[in-house]
Amino acid sequence: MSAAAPSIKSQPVYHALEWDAAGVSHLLFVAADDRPLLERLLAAPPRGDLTVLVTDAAAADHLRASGSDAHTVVEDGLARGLEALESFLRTADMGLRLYLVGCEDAIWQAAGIAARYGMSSAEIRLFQTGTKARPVFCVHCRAMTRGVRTNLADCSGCGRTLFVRDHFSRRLGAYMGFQIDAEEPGVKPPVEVAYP
Amino acid sequence: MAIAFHDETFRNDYTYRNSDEGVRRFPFPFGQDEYMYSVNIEPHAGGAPGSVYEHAFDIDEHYVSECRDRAITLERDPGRCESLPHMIDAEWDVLELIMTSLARDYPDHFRLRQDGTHWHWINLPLGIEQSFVFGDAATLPYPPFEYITRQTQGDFVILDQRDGDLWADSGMITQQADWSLTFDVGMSFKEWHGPVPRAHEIGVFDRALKYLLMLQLGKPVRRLNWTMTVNPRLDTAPETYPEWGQDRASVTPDNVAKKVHLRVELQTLFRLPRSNGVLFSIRGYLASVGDLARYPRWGKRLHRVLRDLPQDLAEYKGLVRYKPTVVAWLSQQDDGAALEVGTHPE
Repeated sequence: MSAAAPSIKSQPVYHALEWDAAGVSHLLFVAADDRPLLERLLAAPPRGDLTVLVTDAAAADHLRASGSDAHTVVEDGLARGLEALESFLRTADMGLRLYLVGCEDAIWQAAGIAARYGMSSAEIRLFQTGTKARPVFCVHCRAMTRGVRTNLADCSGCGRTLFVRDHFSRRLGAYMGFQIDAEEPGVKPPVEVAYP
Repeated sequence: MAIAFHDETFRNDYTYRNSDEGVRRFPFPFGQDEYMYSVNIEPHAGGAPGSVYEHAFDIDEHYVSECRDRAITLERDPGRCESLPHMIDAEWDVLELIMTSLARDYPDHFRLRQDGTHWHWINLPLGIEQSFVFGDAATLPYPPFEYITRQTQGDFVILDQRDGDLWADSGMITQQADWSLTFDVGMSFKEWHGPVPRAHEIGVFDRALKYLLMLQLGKPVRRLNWTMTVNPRLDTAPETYPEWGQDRASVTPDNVAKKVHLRVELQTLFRLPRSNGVLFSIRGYLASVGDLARYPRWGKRLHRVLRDLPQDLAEYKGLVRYKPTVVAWLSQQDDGAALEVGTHPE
C-alpha cells in the first residue's frame, strides 16, 4: 500500500495515479495544483483520446506553460467544472476512463456524478492532493459542511458542533459528523487544525 | 401457543419490562469470563422449544409494542428505511421469506394464503389483513421490504452480492446500536464495518465475508453480538444521539440495576432465492442488569466480562462513562467462584 492504513477501514486509501491501458479514451479531471503529478502523467500520455478538464486556476497556468498538447478545457472553479464533467459524460462512449485529482470534496463529488452516468468504480481512479479539508455530513440534520480543516466544526445546517469522524461514505462523498457534546452539553475538546 | 403481547414503551416513560420467561430465554452471549471478537457463526437450524433460536424469526412478548415504536421512528425520520432501486427483486424475496416463516411458525398469529401470485396475508396481533399480487408493488401500501419489516421485530439489511463483495443496499434500521443507515447505505462489507476496532486486524471480516459469499439457500446462519444501552430504548441511532446521549451520564449506583440494559443482537443471515442477495436480520433483545443478575451465573459472568473489557472496545460500544458504575454494582454479586463454560442461566 502506498499510504498508511487508515484507522477506520471505510476511509479511502489513494494509490499513485497511473493511466489505465485498457481505456479507449481518457478524461483527467484536475481540481488542485499538483505540478509534479501533472508533469509525470502528461510526459507519458495514454493511448487514445485524452481530455484534461481543469478547475484550478494555478494548475491551468502550469498546464499552459508546460506546452502539453493534450486537449485541455479550463473551467472557472469546482462548481462549473462539475457541470462540464457532467456534459462530457452525457455524450461519452464506452471505454472511457476517468481520473480525478484534487481534494476529497472535489474528487468524490466528481465520482458521484460519474456513478450516476453508469461508470463503475473500476473505470474511475481517484487521487487526493492539495488540501486535506473534509466534506462533513451531519448525521443529525443531513446537511453537508464543506472545507472542514478542524477536528470540530459547526454544522452548516443545524449549527451543532460536530466531531469529524474518520468514517467515510463514498456515496455521500463525506465524513460523518456527530454532535460532540450530546452526553455532556457544553463539554468540548479544544479545536485543533486536523486536516490542513 | 399464543403469546401474551405487552403494551409498553421504549421511549419517554420506558414501561418496557421482561416477564420471568422473557429473562429466562434471553440470549446471554458470554460463555466464558472474557470476551473478544470472533467470527462465531453457526447454522441457524432451529433450537430448543421456547428459545430465541427455535424459529427463523423470533416473535416474543414485545412484538406489538416494538412494531409501534418502529412506526413512531419512521414517522419522525422516513430515512430509516432505505432501498436502492436495483433491490426490488430482493425486497420481494424478503417479503416471501418472512411471511412464509411467520405463518408456518406462529399459526395462531399469522396466516398466509398463496394462490399463484394472489396472496392474502393476515397479521392478527397488529390487526392487518391484506390481499395483494406478489411482484406488483402497487398492490401494497408500502414497498414490499418496508411493508413486511414494519411487521417484524428486529432491524434488517439486504446485502447485494456483486464483485466478490456484499453491499448494504437496503435497510430497515430503527433500533440500531449507534450506526447510521443513511450514512452507510451502499457501502461494501468492510467499509460498513469500518469503525469496529480490532476485528479487522485479526481477520474477522475477511473470514466472515468469505463465509457469507458462500452462504447457501435454505441454510441460514447466526451469531450473537452485544452492547449496552441506558434505558430500554430501541432508537439509539446516531441521528437521534442528541436526544439520548445525556442518558449515558444519568447512571448512578441507585438506578444502575434498572437503568442499564445488556443489549444482545441475534444476527441471522439468509440467502435469497431470486436476487441471490443475503438478508441480514439483527434481532435485538434488552434485559436490565438487575434482571440478568437474578441468575447468579449471569451476574458473575457479566461482571467479569465488563471488568476486563479492553478499553478500545468499551469506547467503541459507548460504555466508558457508566461502565465503572455497572462493574461496581455487579461486583457485589460476584463471589469469584469458578463458572462452568456456557451461556445457560442456571
